[in-house]
Amino acid sequence: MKFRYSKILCTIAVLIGMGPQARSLPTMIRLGYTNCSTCHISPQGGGLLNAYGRGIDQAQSLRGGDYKPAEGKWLRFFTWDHRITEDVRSVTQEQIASTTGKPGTQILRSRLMYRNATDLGSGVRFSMTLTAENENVLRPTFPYDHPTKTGTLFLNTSLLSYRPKGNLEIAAGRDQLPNGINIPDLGVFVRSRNRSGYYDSLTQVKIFWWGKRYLITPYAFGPGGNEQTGERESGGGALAEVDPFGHQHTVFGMNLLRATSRSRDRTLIGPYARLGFGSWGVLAEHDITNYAAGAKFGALQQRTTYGQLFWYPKEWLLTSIGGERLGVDVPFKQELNAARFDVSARIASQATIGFTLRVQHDPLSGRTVRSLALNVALKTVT
Amino acid sequence: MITNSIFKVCLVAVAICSFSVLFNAASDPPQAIEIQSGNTSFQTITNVPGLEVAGKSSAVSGRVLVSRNDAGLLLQQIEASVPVKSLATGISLRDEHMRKYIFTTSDGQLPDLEFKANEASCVPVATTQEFTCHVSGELSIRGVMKPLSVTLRAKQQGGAPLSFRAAGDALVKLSDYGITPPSQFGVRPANEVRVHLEFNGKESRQVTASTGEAR
Repeated sequence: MKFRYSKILCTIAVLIGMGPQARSLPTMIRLGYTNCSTCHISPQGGGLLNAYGRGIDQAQSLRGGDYKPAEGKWLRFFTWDHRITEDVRSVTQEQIASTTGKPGTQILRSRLMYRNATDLGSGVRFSMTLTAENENVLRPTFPYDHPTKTGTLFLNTSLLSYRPKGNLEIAAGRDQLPNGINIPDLGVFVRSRNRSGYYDSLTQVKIFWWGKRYLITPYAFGPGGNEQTGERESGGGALAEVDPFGHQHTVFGMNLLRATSRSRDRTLIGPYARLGFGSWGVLAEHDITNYAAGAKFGALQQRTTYGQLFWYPKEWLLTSIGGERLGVDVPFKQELNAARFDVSARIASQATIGFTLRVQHDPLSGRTVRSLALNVALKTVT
Repeated sequence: MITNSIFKVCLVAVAICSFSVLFNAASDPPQAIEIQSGNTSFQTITNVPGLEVAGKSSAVSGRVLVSRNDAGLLLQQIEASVPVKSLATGISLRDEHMRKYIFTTSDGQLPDLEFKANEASCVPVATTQEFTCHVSGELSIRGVMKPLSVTLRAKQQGGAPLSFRAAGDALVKLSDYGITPPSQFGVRPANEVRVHLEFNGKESRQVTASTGEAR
């Protein structure tokens, strides 16, 4: 049993664990951006940038310079007089991996996204993200955690939002749940093993309320519709973070979640921190997930840890080293340790390239997986 | 006659004593202190909830004449300057905008930020080595001088040559200098900018002991 899970986990965790930087950048804490709402249309981060965010995006690229929004009669017509913000984004990843005692693997993944945010007036907005991809890579299957299903086309986000005040937003629909350090790589253990991976889009209602030194996000959720039988979770939680020193460079937070399903219940406690000081910073998260006893197995605990030290030698060049850990109690005992090195260069606001070197070791099976991935992300900017 | 002589002697004695007291109190020869390493930082809120803009410079330079008196320290001829080009916020384009929209004069010049004050007193706090100084002077931004008050906390570092570590805060209003806070895609900094200054000052050797004036 242990051996089988170790093999599956080694292979799949590496494949999904090398996601490209396609979403929000929590490293912006280094410049005093404590939350995502300044640059992203959605206060949860990720997805489309607002005009200011597009300006920052371009300013922090190798190309640099001022962002000048496109203008024109036709553009005004097609964007409903600039009420519609949209883009098309492609992320391509070439990845090679080798596992102790096994032949190497190579995979080319390509993902194409259409993202749209339409301002309906009076603070109401509709957002959607639709993804098409050539290869689905589901997270590993375990008796206590079955992956969600997907197809060639996947609706990541379909959300109706209302912002009555500049620092308050209420949103309802289909989206990923609010997340701790909110790193863009959805394949890391703290995300993929806590049902916050690529295909985990749940029906939900959430509130974002933020200020200079705090962000509070209560949420309630139900199934997304693509879960396997018995795995359809409902529940609620809250994410709260604070900047204790008020200097906009240190954020400490906690994510609490409770979910129930037919097969078992789970609770998650996830403290996290985002620290940034000029050109460098630290991101860290530790999630403890307790699974209640179900019909088929007893109670168990899963622990996932993520740590990253990043450094920007140039505004457009990100380098980082990091580590991850996964630990699961018996009867599904697992232990995985991983280290990674990332380099990502923002060539222009339309193009980012990067590579990731990752080494993962399973002390139970003695297997080591080494992998190298090259990512190219392109998007339209108007 | 004798009474008159005694009166004159007493008068001279009182005058000598008074002069002596005054001399000890305020006429210690001033020593020139130069800023050896200094940092200045600024921070302002914006109209976007939760977003502040902050920047700093490590290129603070300046000098001051310091003398001890019974009340504490007397600061004279206070001068400090920061090259505008050394101010950085972490985003080079934002620095460019800051220089262009805030610090550039109408004729295209980019003068340094300068602070000057004639005199200030420092009173001891807790120990004889720590002082609080209320400095009222003038700050020049893009060539426009306006009054500014800075509260400095200074600590004398032991031994010779004389040296101090000091830090202080001030509030600058851009509107006082005729500057309208620039806006970038709807994000606009506030009119009030909090300024923090930290520096090490060390006795300069280029001072004449007799006059205390810098050469």
